[in-house]
Amino acid sequence: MKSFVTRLALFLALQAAIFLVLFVSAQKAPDPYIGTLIDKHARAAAVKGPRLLLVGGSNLVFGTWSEDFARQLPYQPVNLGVHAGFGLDFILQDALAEVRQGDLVALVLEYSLFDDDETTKELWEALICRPEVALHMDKPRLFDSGFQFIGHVTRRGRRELLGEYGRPDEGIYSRGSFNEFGDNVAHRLLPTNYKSVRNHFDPMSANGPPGFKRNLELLEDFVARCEARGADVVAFFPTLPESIYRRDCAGITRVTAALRRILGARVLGRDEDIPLPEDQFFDSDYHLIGTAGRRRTQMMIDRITAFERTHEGAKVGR
Amino acid sequence: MAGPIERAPHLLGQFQRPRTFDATAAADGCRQILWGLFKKLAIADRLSPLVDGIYADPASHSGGQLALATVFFAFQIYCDFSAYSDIAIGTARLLGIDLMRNFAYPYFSQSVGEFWRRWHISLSTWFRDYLYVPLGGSRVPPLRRWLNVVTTFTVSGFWHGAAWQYVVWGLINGVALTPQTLRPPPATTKARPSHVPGGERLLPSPVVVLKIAGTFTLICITWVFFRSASIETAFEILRKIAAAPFARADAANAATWADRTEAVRMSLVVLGFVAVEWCQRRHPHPLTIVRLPRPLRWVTYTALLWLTFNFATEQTSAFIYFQF
Repeated sequence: MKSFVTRLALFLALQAAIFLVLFVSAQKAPDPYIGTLIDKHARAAAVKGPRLLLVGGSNLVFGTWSEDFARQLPYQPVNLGVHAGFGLDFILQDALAEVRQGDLVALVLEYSLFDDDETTKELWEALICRPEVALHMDKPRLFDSGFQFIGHVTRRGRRELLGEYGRPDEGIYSRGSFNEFGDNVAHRLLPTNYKSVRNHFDPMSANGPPGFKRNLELLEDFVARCEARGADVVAFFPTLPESIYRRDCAGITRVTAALRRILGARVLGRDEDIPLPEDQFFDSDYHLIGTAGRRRTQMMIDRITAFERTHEGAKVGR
Repeated sequence: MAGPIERAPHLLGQFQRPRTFDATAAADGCRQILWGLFKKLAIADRLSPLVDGIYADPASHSGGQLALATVFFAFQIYCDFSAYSDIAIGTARLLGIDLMRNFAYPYFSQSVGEFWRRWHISLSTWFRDYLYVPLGGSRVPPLRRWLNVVTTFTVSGFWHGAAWQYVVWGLINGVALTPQTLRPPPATTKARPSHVPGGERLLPSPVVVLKIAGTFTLICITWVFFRSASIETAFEILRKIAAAPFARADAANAATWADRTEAVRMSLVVLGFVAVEWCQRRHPHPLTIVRLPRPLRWVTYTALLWLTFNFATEQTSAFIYFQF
């Protein structure tokens, strides 16, 4: 038995070494869009003093003017939004790694995040950029998809080693299109392209799928940990085209009701914030054109300012 | 019920006897697990979207596309199903438990009868022992024997689901066994035919090739019923295939097979897979390569493992037989 175990251990060690080579190769050439995660976390680490951490998916990438936050709020903004395909678990754990005392965490979470329970190749790309986040995620779910992750790393690493990867780092969906706060700026002056969108988010049901309860638990845990570190958490509702809002109204209401249950008065979003005409969207259901994003940012500034006023008053009154 | 479906005397006795670790069996178990992983992740899961895309909308596809999708399904279900058995058997061997072999290169069979002695062996033998034999088995006149066979296969069709296409699938298999069923059983014990499917020769004779191809074609016809949403759809697919089996996509439906490159790639993978299984068909599984020096064996295992990961899809699908 000893000889078998020794040979098996040697064989597995060899495979682990091969995996490490592939993983490091893949890390050397991160996905041009998802690689912005690295830049956003570098900014979060570099900024001193209280920060406004924007947490969500790409609705924050395409729909935020963080320079307005910096001018009008007593926080330095860090836009941590990248892609809803990362899943709620990764998004929250990734943000939690940055939270510290005095921060204000603004959750702007896509509604589908609360229903999704699947792992995606976007998540694998994110874990290539930030593998340490996996230590804090739901292990059984990650383990279940372990083969897919190894497969993704194998393909990426192989292509990088053979010089085949070659995804150009240019265009709107690339790191060069982001400003220092983590907002995408390349699309701000472009007109709406929404009518050509083919792939809309899947419809949401009125009663959540089995994963909904688990995702709410993740959120509750995140909020508790933020508060334990001395940070405040508020929530806004991302906007959607009117047609999608009408289609998914029951499911969206389910999510907003759950957020109100967990966060109470810290939900600064209102139901009337959600639906907007289709011409206010850029290229997908959650991506706003430049002007709409600016209006949304101003709305968030006004609500945060009002919240801070009452919040400070409540703290003083205690 | 995906198997192997063990018999109590064979299995329970092993639990009761003291077991010692067998390094040779454990190592071979690991090899069998690796082969199962390759079949499931690199072949079955990759064939699944190609088959689903065609069978979801057969009216929009040509006879050639339907024929290729049916062949793909034949290998999807074989790789998916036998992979599960390989992983189960390999894992059991790590623990010193011997489970019965469940698949013995069924697509190299030269008759439908031989196919059913090589496919899901544990379930086939279960139906034989608990249904066919109590009905009288082979010890009855030919017509009664034929009825027993057809009944057994029809019931096994029901076992797969309460849908008529499964019943028709079972019935067709039972009827396809008619020539062998009506042949008188052997009077004397002659030398057993070679247990190696397709014969001992590396290059089979044209007659053997024809028999294997003919059996495979018949089995694929039954798979059309197994995979289709309804009997009507199955007949429609068979009609289109029969009318133009090599018809390519025309301008109207050229776009419906979304990834032709993937279809070509998987055709080559399946051919390669068949070649490997053919060359290694003497062994319980193709990774029985113990005669090679260890460094070469490790290179082979490593290459197969990383080929498996490289080909694994972004999202895996459940084992097909879990639905039964």
